[in-house]
Amino acid sequence: MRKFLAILICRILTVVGKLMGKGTSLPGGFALKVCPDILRRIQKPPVIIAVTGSNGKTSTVEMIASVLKAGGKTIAYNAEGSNQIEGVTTMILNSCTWSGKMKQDILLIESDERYAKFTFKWFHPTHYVMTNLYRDQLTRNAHPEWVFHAIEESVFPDTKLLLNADDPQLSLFGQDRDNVVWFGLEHNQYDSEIFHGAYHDGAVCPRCGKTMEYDYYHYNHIGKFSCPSCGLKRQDTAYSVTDLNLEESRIVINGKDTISLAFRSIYNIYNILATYAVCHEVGIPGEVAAQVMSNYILKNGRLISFTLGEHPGTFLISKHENSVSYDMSFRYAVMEKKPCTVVVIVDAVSRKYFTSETSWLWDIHFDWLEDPCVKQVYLCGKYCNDLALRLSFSQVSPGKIRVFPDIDAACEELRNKGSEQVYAVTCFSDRMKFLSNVTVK
Amino acid sequence: MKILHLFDDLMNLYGEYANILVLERCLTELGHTVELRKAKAGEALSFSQYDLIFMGAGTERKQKLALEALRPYAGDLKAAYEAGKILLFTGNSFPLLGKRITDSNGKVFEGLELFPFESTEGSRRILGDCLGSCDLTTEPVVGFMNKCSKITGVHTPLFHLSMGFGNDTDKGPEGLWEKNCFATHMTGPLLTKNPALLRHLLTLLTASPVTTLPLPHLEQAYEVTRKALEERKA
Ligand SMILES: [Zn+2]
Repeated sequence: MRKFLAILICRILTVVGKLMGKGTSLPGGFALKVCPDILRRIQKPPVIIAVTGSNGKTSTVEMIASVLKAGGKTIAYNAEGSNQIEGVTTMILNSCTWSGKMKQDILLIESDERYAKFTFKWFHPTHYVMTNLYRDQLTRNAHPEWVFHAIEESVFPDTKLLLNADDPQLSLFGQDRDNVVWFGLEHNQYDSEIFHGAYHDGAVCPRCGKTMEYDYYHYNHIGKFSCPSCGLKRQDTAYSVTDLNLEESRIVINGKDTISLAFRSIYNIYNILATYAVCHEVGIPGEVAAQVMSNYILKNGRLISFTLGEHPGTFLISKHENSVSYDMSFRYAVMEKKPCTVVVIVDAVSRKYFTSETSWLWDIHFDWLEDPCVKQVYLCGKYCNDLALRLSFSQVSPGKIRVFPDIDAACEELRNKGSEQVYAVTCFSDRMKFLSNVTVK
Repeated sequence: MKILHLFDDLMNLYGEYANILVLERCLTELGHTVELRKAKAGEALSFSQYDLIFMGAGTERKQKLALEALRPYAGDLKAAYEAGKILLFTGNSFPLLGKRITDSNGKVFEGLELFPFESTEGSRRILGDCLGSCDLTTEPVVGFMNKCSKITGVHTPLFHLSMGFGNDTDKGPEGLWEKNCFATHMTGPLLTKNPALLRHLLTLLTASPVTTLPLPHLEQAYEVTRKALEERKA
């Protein structure tokens, strides 16, 4: 009876919420009040895939959903990214029958790193994908080891883990464990033997604290690591990107399935690989995954093309308080080798909560922007002075830098001057402050 | 001018290395030759030749590794402090200077015992922007707190917070200031966020008053954050 009531309340509130344009976590929250163990009581599909990690959860879940559907599976998943227990509950109660049975083949859940333990207290995923673990929103998440321990509480022996083998901290989850499947990138021409980044979170071993060694880095501290002291090392992978060609926008997985990239970012390649791996584990042939993900355009559109005066432009959505996402955007911009202006905007650090915290700017590797193809760097928004201070300690020559508290004024100056490529790099929270000044294609 | 940055690979959270960058830049602009040593855990240490010794914030696990690496040199560090050397310990390197640290599992770690305070870690994170005052300057101080411990037994705090969590109470006294030892859980990084504190440390280091900084954006950034925090508090 409680179960039925919880489902009923959830559905009524969902309908009301839709009319009022409210989010998707509130109905589930109420349902949990009515019936706290509702998630255990619902009869769930035989396959439950969970995805967590610092970056790429939403993109990965979106691609997994597309591949599973193409492979003929019926699924339920939290498409809207409400990834704490309330949002997951809303999705589940809206996807089951009135008697509480899910008829889909697969339940697919994007799960917040810190709150996964609350969701998976009630049921365990059969497959648990972890994309990466790095500094993200430290004003809420403390630091990656803190998040690691939070995730740890959501990991159970009966779950098969699918882990990014190239991430040392994450690899700890797979130590002394049988049911783990590793995925990663093989050595490729974009690797570096030198560390690139403002901080090195792989400098010391996450297990014993002694100095780690790397054969090569794919990016930041992601790469082929080993600890001479305790023996922690990158594991051999069951799913690998065996060939990578960013110029031709393609990758090959396990030597046989070629995927064309809509977005040439190493970042996104891990999301594709994770998707390929978990879909293969649940019976979808590699060819199907490769076909679906070839030239796949993500819904949240990490790339937006625009024009600003005579300038062609590309908007690279990054995340404030997430230095790796900025590093990736800069790396993408210089990889294109076009003479360009890079616009960096930090105006509101978060759209969800107040903070004036800018220490994460010191974690960003701005040195990428000293590449000769970058002709100018515009630093804009309320925190332009913090940016300017940070860049005065980077390799970027001061002559390239322009500082604008007013984003509109920066756009106005660019509009009236030049025709080079523009890359705008900022967060969702500050996106419209820039896009309102340009013509989006 | 000799500066020692302790364990920059271990205690590397929240951009705290920038404290050293701004000090080094300002000292150089003031005409001093700066010799900076970045020491890794396990390397032999001695403190007497340094003018300033710095350590930043790390994870709780790495903080304990830093503690063990420093332990053999606790006496030497105390001697440097008593000789009037400048110690700047920010984030969770601050608790290392105390008598003991108890972690969230109740495990006790003996501290370096420069001071008689104690630190107790919990499983809840204490996070938030900070605004406060400091007897060293007339300007308000700004920063951020990202910690999981409370500290008791400090009699000479560095800051008095009007926003943020102090040593053991909300909006309470925060940090420690004794002689030339400045310790605080406030990150920011502290010296990139607070021009007055930076000037104060430069004055101490150079033994002549430093009234202007060769970093115009630092002063402007401070004004923006101070205003934002004061508006938030109101
Ligand atoms: Zn090790």
